Amino acid sequence: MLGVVRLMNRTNFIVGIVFIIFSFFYYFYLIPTQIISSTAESEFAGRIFRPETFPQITIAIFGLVSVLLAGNALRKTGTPELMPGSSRRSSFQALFVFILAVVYVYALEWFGFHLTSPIFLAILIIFFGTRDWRFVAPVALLTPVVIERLFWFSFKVMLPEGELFVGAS
Amino acid sequence: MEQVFEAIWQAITLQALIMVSIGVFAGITVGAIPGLTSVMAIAVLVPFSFFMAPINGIPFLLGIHKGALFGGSIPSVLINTPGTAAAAATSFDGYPLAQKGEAKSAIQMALYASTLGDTFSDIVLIVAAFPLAAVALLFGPTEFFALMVMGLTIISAVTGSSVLKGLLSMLLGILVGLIGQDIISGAERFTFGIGNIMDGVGTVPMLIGLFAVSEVLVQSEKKLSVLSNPPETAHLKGGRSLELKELVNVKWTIMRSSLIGTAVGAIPGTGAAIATFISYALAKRGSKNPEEFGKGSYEGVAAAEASNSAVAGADLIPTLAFGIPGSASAAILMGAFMAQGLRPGPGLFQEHAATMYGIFTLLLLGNPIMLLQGKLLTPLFARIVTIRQSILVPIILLFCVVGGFIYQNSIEDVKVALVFGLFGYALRKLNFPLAPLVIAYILTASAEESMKQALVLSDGNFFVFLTRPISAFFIFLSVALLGLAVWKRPWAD
Amino acid sequence: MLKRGILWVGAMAAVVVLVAAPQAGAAEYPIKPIKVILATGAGGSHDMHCRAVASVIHEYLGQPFLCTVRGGGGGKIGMTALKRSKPDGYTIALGSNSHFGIAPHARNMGFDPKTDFVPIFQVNGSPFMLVTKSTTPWKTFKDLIDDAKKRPGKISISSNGAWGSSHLGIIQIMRAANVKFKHVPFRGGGKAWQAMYGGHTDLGWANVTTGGTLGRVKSGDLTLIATASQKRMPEFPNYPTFYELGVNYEYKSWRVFMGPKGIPQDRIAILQAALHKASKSKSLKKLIKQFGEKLSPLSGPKLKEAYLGQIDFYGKVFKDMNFKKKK
Repeated sequence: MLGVVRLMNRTNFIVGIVFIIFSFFYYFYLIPTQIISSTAESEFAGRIFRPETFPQITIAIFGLVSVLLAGNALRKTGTPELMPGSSRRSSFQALFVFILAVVYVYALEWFGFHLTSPIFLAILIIFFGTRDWRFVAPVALLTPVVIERLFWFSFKVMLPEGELFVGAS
Repeated sequence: MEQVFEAIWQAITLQALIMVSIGVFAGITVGAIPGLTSVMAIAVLVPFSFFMAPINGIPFLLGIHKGALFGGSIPSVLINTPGTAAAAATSFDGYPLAQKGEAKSAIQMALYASTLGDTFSDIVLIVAAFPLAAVALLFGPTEFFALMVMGLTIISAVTGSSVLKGLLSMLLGILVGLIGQDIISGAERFTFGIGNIMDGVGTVPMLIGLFAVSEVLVQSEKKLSVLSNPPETAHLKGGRSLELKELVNVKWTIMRSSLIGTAVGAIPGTGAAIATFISYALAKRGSKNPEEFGKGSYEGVAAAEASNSAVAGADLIPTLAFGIPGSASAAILMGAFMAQGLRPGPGLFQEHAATMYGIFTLLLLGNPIMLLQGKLLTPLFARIVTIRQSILVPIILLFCVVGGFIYQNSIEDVKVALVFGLFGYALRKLNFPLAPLVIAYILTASAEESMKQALVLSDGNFFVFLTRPISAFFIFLSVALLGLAVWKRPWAD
Repeated sequence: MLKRGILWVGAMAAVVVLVAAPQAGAAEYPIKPIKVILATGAGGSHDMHCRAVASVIHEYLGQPFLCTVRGGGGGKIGMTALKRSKPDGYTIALGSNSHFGIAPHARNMGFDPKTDFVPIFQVNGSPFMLVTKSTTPWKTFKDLIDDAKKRPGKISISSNGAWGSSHLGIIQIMRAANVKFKHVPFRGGGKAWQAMYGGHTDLGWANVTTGGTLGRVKSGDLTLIATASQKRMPEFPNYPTFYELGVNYEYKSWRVFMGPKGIPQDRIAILQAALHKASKSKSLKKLIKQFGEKLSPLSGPKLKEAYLGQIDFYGKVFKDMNFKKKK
């Protein structure tokens, strides 16, 4: 069940480099553009009170540690770090699930909870290998209803109704 | 004195006991579903309490509060997703235990630790609420900052094998924690114009995404044959029962964690999360088997759960003594008290002695009730791990989506959860520990604010953190803890 | 096999339940529950007031109120949700004037309170008060200002956040009296009050319920300096308003039911009628009293006037500060 023992060094090195690039991006682009002050000057004098200060300090340290990470990865050779093995198949499976989830979330807004959830569940269960429709169908139909009724009765929570259907009355 | 006994006796009616039981059960259920918080549950149910007699209505709500703090440990153990932020530390050891097939005993440990912790803090509440509350008021921005620093030192206890990666994870957590409005300057930081994250990312969607969704993605990688058949550990039917001697072994941990939980919980503005982190770190330091922590140590589960449940009782201390709620749930509970004419303040225990002692009695009785319900429900919950993944994982994902939506009635939060899910998945594949990220995220906003507030008050004098006694105490403690950590561990990674 | 059988029965039942979902009939408004958005977040006085009203409204309206928490963004999330909701009378909000009165002047909230919303019914409002512990040397506003002039920037006042309701008050005092205070922002009024009560800041703001302020002023635990109200507060007839002291400032924790623009007038009228009747109910009055407040029901043109007046008032405050709203 354990993955293949791989040398993590190359991955660590790449990660280090990516993080370093990210640090520059964050410092020089994100901070100036994404910190929006209501007024030109703050009422508090002093560098420490400015909203950029903490982010700047943090990302500076982050960049430094990333350099250490990359550097360390270059230095060491052959020290194995357990990394779960992955293959094209496994990554594809995970990606599929994620994309399906994204589609589901957007579909929720348009079609509402009751329509989309059983479909979503059914696709996933079948994808994961349980193909027996006599099993899949009732679970896929039953679970969303149980959830919704439970949440409605107990907390009067309303799950997405779907824009398409918010038409009547 | 006689009156007190009379009041206590009167309070123990069948109706009251039933109301507490329902409350505890609702609490456990709410805590067990990520996305539902006890704040929500108490808020929704509080109007019912308006027209009930206080002796029934208030213990009902208090039961929910209690139950939720235990309930949060269940998904922590079973699916590595804290049901509440307070249960975050429980997943560090609870989940590895479940993976070894010991889900039932892990949840039971959580149950016993929770019950003991809560009982302890309830007793403290009844006996020493006012003096403790007065001490709690001594915590100002300077002291809060020092406390947060101490919370951050726990990160050294959970970095795992690579210190550098642990550090990076922590820094990422800080970056996420910085998203939102800076309360000192009013500036919006990194919100990208998205309304939902203007107050910060939202602890619940983030936890759901970072833990549950990422776990779903990790599980999705498995071979289909593995997923569509019952898991290897299924024959254990969820695991064995916890033995008494195992509980006795961790008695000091539970004791210490209850103390910490009560103390920290009594300070308004600190959450259960930080109490848990501090307890966990100290438990690991004081343990005979520190290397077990993070891999499935019962001590770790006990430490985390005893302290977060201790916060349940302690929350009420500043709430009832001063009318300063110790947490969001406490704020609503306070509303419930006030609706019954029970105004927080020095006079409360005297003017309404009969009612208050009755309520306290039921509060204490809530603990054995929770224990009983827990014992009955645990085997049921634990069996969830015997369900084959091909059915379980989709349902978990459904709960993630629903849970993320319910948090604030907004679909945008679900999108946030998904983003964090992908992020968490990537981090896990790259062998980055998630714990430091979560801890840093939870603590960052408070730490930064407190520091700046302290500096405004001291006119920019940094030494204020060392000159004020309480603050100095925590800073030195943190340095000591960090020093120990550095000294003990070999620096090679 | 049995498991599968049970699952099938369950699934059939589920389909039946789905099909038998509530029918949208052509009956009168309201035929389903009314969602009330709380942009303030859970807990706190708005939440409590909403739930208190919700606990009795069913009798008078025929349908319940569902208090739905949609906090965050200083009110932006909840109020924009209100703006975007269908104006059919089934979604309203219990608004707070820090959200619609103050915040839109401080930053881009995504709505224009004058044109996007209509006020429906005022529940009540509790004014802010400037308070300090009785152990501090200041007993009156004059004491405070005299001392502030001697020690500029040394006396600290906590607020509930930058450019929030209490910060504005501080700014107005400083401008009117030409003094400088040390402003310490906190995340929320509760934390701000706590810092004051714990002696970490010198002064703080509160309304009657925050931390039990009403009782504490009366018992002498806290000193009340001034009230941010239009007229003297009935609970504190001997204490001046800011207006009397020459400071152009008022703020109350205002609780107003509001709806998106475009709700048919007849539906608004039905809501108003039900709310007026509810505010006469003994049980609701008692509840509100336990919270330490009173009901002051108001609707119609007078309410609209007050609503617009508040927005304009804070607009002027910001303008006088030469505040530059970004974005």
